[in-house]
Amino acid sequence: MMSKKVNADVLPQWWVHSHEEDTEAEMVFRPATFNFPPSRGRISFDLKPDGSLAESGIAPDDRRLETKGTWKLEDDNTLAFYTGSQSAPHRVMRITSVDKDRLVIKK
Amino acid sequence: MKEKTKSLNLRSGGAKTVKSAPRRRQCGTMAVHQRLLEQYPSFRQNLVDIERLVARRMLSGMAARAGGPTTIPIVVHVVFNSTAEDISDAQIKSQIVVLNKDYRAKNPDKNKTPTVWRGLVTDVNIQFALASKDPNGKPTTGITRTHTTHTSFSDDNAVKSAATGGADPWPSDKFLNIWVCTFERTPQGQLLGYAQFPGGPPKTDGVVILNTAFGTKGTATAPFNRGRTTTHEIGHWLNLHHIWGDTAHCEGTDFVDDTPNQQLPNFGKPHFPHITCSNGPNGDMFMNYMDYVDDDSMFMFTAGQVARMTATLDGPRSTIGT
Repeated sequence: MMSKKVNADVLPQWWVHSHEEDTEAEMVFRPATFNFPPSRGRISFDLKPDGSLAESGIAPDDRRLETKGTWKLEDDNTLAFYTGSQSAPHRVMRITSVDKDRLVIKK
Repeated sequence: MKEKTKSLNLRSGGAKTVKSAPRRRQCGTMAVHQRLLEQYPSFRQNLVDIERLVARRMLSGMAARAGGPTTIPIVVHVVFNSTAEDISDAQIKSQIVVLNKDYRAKNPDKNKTPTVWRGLVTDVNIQFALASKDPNGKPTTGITRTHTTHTSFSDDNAVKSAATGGADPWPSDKFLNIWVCTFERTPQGQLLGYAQFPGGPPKTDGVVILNTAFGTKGTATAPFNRGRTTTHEIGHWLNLHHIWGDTAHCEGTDFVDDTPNQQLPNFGKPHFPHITCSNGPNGDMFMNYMDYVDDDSMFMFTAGQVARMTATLDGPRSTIGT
């Protein structure tokens, strides 16, 4: 059975990991304007309306790692991240729910 | 945990591993790390050589640096804009106290280690002291203080050079350089610290720590006011990797056999057990210094991690310490 398509209109935002809100099964992301408490690190991804992507991760030496790519929302509510011209996504995340203030993905 | 394996028995020496298929495609983190290494060919080769040395040592069971413990001289470069950022000598000394407990397994909170892993808690046999002589052999406090016009720094090494608003290092083959400064605030928050692995450029060798996450007094602020950020960063300086293996799936590695396979960093104050990557019943070793939990929730290195650090001290960092 197909799941209901999430509201794609609210997806293009800079989403930052709000790990304090995670559960055993899900990860929670908030817009970059959210008032986050101090943390050793937060991953984030900026989903641009034109389909381009800016990811920020945690480097092995604790610096930030910035990477560019593209993103796409698939019919099954999967968020796929692509690097360069590669046809296979380097990261795939299943969206559980999303509104303008909160994005929840399955771990 | 070693690459592409999952542990069934996490006790040291008794690890039994099985191959597992990737659950997800690899995230970009390690790929970017590889690109960074490619920008510095000598750094890349050095890391390869270091891994070979570590592997040989672990196979042969060679003795650590003769005698011990090894004392490493530290120089703390306080780089400040406001007077509040010019942290006190007492705050700096409180950090040295923490290091000398954590790296000798004398930290009282190690008793909070889950019973199943208590046998893995290991003394690194390293101690630290503020340098008593500067590079010219003259008496010193081991602390430099530099006023800067920069209100904050990013993670681009600018704080490590006077030419870019920071403080020049002391020779990194003889001193562990620690820069203490304010990091810029970004939507992802404020960095607490960053490190450089052994084998990198000498002019940027050392660790950088946020002034409010340094030591246990003065401007140190909860939940990062127990000095564990510096314990963590010096772990990288001694060649330790993050315990989750720097990927967002179960195929990453920290190149250590006695730490459980773990999917992601843990944050805050987790409850035992926290199971990922089929690593039950004990789950993630989130109380390890190389995870991302709060200062009051990390309190151990394992024997495997100590073997890596000891090999590093005997190899690429053999010129430092006595």
